[in-house]
Amino acid sequence: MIGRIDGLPEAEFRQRKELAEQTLLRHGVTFAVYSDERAGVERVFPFDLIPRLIAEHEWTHLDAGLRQRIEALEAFLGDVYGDARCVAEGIVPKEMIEASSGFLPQMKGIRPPGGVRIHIAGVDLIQAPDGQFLVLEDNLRTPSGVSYVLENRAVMKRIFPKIFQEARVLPVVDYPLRLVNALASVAPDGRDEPRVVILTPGPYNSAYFEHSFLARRMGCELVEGRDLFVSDDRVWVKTTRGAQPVEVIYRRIDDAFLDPEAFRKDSVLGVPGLMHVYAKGNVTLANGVGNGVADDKAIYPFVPDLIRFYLDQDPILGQVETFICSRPKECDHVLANLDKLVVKTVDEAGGYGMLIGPQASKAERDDFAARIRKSPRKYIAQPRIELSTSPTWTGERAEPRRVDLRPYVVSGKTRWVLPGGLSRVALREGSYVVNSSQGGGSKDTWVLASRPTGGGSDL
Amino acid sequence: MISRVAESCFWLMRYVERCDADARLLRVHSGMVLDTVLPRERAWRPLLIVEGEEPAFDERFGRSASGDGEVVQRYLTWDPGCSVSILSSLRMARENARTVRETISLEMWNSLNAFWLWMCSDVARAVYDDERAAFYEEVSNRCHLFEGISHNTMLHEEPFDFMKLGLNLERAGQTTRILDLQHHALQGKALLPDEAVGAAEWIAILRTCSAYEPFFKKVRGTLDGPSVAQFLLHEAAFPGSVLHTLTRAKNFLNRIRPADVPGIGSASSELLDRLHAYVDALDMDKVLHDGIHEVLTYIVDSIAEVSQAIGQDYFYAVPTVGAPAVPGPAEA
Repeated sequence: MIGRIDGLPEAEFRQRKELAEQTLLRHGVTFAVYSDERAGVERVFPFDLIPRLIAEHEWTHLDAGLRQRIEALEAFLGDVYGDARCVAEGIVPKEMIEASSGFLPQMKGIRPPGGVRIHIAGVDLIQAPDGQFLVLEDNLRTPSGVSYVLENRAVMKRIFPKIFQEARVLPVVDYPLRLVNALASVAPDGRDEPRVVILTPGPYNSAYFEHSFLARRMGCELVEGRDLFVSDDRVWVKTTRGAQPVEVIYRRIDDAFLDPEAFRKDSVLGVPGLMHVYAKGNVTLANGVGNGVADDKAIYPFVPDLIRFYLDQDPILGQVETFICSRPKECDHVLANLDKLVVKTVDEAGGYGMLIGPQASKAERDDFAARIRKSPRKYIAQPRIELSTSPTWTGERAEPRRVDLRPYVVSGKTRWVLPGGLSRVALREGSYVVNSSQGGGSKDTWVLASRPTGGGSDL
Repeated sequence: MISRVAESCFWLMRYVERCDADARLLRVHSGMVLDTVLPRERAWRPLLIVEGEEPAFDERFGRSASGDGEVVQRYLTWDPGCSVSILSSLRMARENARTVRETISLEMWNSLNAFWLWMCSDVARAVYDDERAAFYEEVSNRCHLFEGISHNTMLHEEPFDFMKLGLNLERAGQTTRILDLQHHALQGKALLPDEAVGAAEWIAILRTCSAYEPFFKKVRGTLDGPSVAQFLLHEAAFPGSVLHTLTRAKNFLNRIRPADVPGIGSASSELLDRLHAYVDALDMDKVLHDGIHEVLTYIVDSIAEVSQAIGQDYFYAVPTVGAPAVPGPAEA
C-alpha cells in the first residue's frame, strides 16, 4: 500500500494532498480552538494522507482486548454506584473512588435503562517499540473524534480510488447506524420507536461539527438544552407541533452542565430536572452520568485487577506502568525521578496540565514538584513510553512522526468495536503531543483484511 | 420538528434570498445610473432608503458620501457592520445553515459553504474590482444554485416548507420595496400615468426583479408606472410578483399547520390570509389615486407582522404538556 503511495510522483502527491484539504474545508470538517483569540474560529483538522496500517490478526487481538476492558469497566461502574463490592473486597481503596471528581454520590442506587453506562468508549492506545499495543487512557464520558475517522475515510477513497480497490480495508461507514441502534436498544422499558436526540452545547463548541455530523448520519435530531424541558417525570422537546416526548439523549455535554438543579447552578446548556427523570429510569443518557470515576487517571492503575475481579480473566491488553502520587511511597519515587517521568493531572484531558519530565526545564520540574507536594491526589506519573511512529508527509518528504490510536467501542444490548479508529499524529518533529487542540493531526487507519471483504464498497 | 431548527430554516432561506435581491439591486442600479441624468445625490440615496440603512450610513460616512456610488456599493456589498450587506446576509445564512446542518442536505451545505469561502476569497474581490456586473451576477447565480439544490436534494417536508415560506415572504417584501424605490426617487410624489419617470428607471425596476422580459411577454406596448406596478404586484404567473409569492407562502404555511393539532398556527395563518386577500383585491386605479407608497408600506408592515406571528406560533410558543392536542406518555 505504502508502496503504491510511494510510487506516486511527488507533484501528483502534492496535488492530491491539496485536493484533500480543499475537500475537508469545503465540507466544513472543522473544529474551533479554545486558545485562539477570536472565539469560534474554525480550522480544518490537519490530515495526513499516508494511512496507518494494521493487519487483521493484530486487530482481532485488539478487538477482544477492548471488549474485555469495557465489559470490566461497565461492571465497575455498576458496582461503584451499586453495592461497592470492589471496595468491600479490597480491590480499590474507598478513598480513591470518593476522591475522584468524576464520582457522583447522587448516582448511588440509580440503575440506567438497560443497565448500560458506557455506550460509547474511546480508548487511547499507544504502540510500544516492540509492536505491542498498550492502553494509555479510557475515555468513558464523551469521547470525540469519530467524525474525523469517517470523513478521513471518505476523503481517502476520493483521493486514492485505485489504491482502495486493491487494498481490502475493513469498512467504518456503518458506525452511525450501529450507534443509533445500540442507543435505541437500551431505551427506557416498553418504548417502541424511541425518539433519540443528540444534545449539543451549540455551534460554538469545538466539537460542534461532529455533533451535527453524527445527527445527520444517525438520522437523529440535534438539540440544544433550551429545546428540551422536563414535565410529568418525562423529558420533552419543543417542536412546531407542541411538546413531544424524548426517550434517549446522546449528550455531548459534561455531567456538571447537564442539569442546573442537580449540578452546576449556572449552567444554561443543560435541562433543569433532567437528573430527576434519569433517576426514575424514564430517560436514557449516553453516556451515563458519573462515568468519570471509571476513566479517572487514578483508577487506571487498578483496571487490570478489576478485569480479574469482575470477569475472572487475565487482561488481554497491557497498559502503562503508573505511579499514584497519593501513595506516599510512589510519590517519593515520582519526586525523585521527575526528569524521567511524564506527570499528568488526573482531571485534565486534551494534553493540558502535564509535565514531560525529560523535555522540561529545571524550573518547570520544580514548579510541578511543588504542585505535587501540595495536592498529591491530583497527580499520577508514568515512564515515558516511546510512541511508535508512522510515516507522515512533512511538506517535503515522508518522515516518521509519533502516533497513537483511539478505537471506538459501541455498547447497547450488544457490543461492537469500530475496525480502525482515529490515528492522531504529532505533526511537529520530535513532539509527543497528538491532541488536536495542541497542534496534532490525524490520519486514516486501515485494518487490512487477510481475506477479500467480498468486493463491497463502504461508501 | 424542533422549533429552534424551524426558525433557522426559515431565516436561512430569507438571508439567501436577501443576498440575491441585494445583488440584483446593486447590479441593475449601477447600470441604470449610467443611463440617466439624475443628480448624484438622487442616484444612490434611494438604495440606502430602501434598505433602511440611511441613518446608519449617514452616521458612518456623512450624508454627502451617499452621492459616491463606490462608497454606497462597498457599504451594501462588503461592510460587516451593515446588517443588510451581501457579506452580512451570506454570513447569517451560513451561520443558520451551520446550526441545522443535520437537517439540510449535504449538497446544500457544500454549496453554501463554497459560496461563503468564495465570498471571502481574493478571487471574489478581484472580480468585484475588475468587472462589477459579473460579480453581482455571480452572487445571484450562487443564490439560485443554492435554492435549486435545496429544491432537488432535500426532503420536501416540514423543514423545506419553512425554508420556502421564508423565501417567499422575503421575496414578496423585496419586490414591494424595489417597487417603492421609484417612489423614493420621485421624492414623495404619487405615481400617476403621466409621471415623468423615464423608461430607463422602469426598465431598471423590472430588471432588478428579474421581470424585464416576462413583463414584455405579458404587457405589450406600454411601459409606465401603472403597468409596472400592476405587473409586480398582481401578475399571478410571474414568480417574483407579490401576489404569486404570497400565494406560495400561503400554501407552504398551510402544509406546515398541523391539521391534527387544533389551535396551533391560527394567528399566523389568519394574518397571511388577510394580507393575501388584500393584495388580491387591490384596485390599481384606486391605489394610484390614493398613493402607492402607502399601499406598499402597508404590505411591508403586514409581512413583518406575519413573520412575527409565525415566530409566536411555531418558534417561541410556550409548550404545554398534557393538553389534549399533545400525545400523552401513554400513547407515546
